[in-house]
Amino acid sequence: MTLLETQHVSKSFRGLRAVSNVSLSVATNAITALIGPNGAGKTTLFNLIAGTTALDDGKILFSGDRIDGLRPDQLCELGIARTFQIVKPFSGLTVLDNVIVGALKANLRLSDARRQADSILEHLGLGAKRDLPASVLTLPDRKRLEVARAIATRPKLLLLDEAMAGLRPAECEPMIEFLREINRRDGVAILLIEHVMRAVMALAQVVIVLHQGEVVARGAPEEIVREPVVLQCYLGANVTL
Amino acid sequence: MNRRALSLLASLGVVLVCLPFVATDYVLSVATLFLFFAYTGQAWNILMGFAGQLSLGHSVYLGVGAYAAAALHYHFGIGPWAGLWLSLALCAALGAVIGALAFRYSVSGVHFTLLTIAVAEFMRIGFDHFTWLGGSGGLFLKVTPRDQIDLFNLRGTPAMFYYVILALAAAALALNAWVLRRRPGYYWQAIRENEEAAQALGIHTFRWKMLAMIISASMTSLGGVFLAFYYNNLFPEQVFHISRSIEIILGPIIGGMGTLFGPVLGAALLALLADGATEILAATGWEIPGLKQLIYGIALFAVITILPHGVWPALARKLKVWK
Repeated sequence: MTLLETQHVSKSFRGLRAVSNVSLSVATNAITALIGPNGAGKTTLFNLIAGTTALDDGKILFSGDRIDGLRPDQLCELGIARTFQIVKPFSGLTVLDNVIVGALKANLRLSDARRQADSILEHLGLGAKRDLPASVLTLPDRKRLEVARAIATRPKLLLLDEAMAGLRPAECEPMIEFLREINRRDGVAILLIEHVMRAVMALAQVVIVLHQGEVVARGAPEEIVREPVVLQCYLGANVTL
Repeated sequence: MNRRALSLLASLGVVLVCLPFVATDYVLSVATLFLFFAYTGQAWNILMGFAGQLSLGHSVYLGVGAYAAAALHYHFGIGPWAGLWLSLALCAALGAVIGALAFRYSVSGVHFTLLTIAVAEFMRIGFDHFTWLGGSGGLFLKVTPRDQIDLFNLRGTPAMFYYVILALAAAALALNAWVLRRRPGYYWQAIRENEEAAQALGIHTFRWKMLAMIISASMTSLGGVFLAFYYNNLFPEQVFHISRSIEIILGPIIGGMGTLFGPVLGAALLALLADGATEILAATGWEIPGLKQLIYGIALFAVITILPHGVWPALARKLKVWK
């Protein structure tokens, strides 16, 4: 079943076509990755879906309803949560309070929100740092906090903007495990933009390749990396994996 | 807040409640002023300290609140307890209009601050020409003997006024403590720290900023009602003046913006400082104009340089009253 669908979505910046006639879909319960070289339009497409950039043309549907033109908070209300590539923690608040802000969306009572936030932090390995101000966290921990906060809103679809960038392989592993678990256990669909191919290969069931604002390929990860067109535009010519 | 903090707070409360029985009129007037700024500072702290919106025009709510209740009393003999509802309503509406203009059309940061200043200046000049309320010549409430307490009309002894403002300041502290650990407190702080991230977590930022604006404005208007009946006279040049807005925000900045006790501590320190400077000058016999302001300014500069986050966070660590 389709959860998220973009239909012929386009966006130009001063004549430059950043996203051109993109139609794609994300299935319920699936993990879908969006890859492509720098400047391919991934972040623009992501921002169109997340409601921070207005589209020029096309439609975006979520569970069959039009969602283009809605504000980010309305999208969150519908069940779409996101992380930011450049992390945006609430620096002055504690790690726990950061996550409580997200958890208050799905919990009427503060005590319930706190319990949920605590359990998410435990799962992400941030439990010991719950009372620290978010400003003192290291980058990997901030990346985790981004995910923790977004997950706390109990989304149906999680949009991850380079959640793994800047993490060492050993730090990626627990994050991959966590994402796989919320996908399997809670049925959260995930759409991720990712440069870390390890993470894409390990997580995604479907990979969509963008190049110069257009979808050039889609398929299972192991097929995608053998597609000549992908190798050419994304990894460069004459590269084999 | 832990048990130690609660016991310290309780002892402070006892001291303040007992003060009129031991203090001279002069000390009581200083304490009244301290509590007035502790109250208005807390009201401003909701908007700036919690929700992160810098208003430099809070004198507008002070002035409109003061004039509304004073006008009802002056022209129609309506007491302040009835009149304050008009003050609350007018200032809530005024806050809502300014907020709607600013937040709807994305007037943020320094531009929001300029808007608040502009509205206050507009009101100052407008009231200067509002002859029904005395214009620039001022509005004077009937002065009654100060030894009889008429709580209904808010006429009475300095001690009565002291208790009224003490009750207001205490109520503001209770409200802030309550709201800070509830959804509005979390949402305001999230907006303050990062509005985009807050919105992505489902927070309707416009609505919550409006709420902060309306609460802060209405609370400040009650300070205005108190001001009108305490001083018995109102001048647009004084009550709407930008120096009033600055006086309101000094306490929270010195004490610690966004903290619960910062505005109260800051107001106390400023009262002591202003008064201390006067005392020192009187003791030494120096009568150099502006020296008091100079001492005041240097002390403020020192505090802001050494403790940029305010005195309260540092003191709280020393007293071990915060986690």
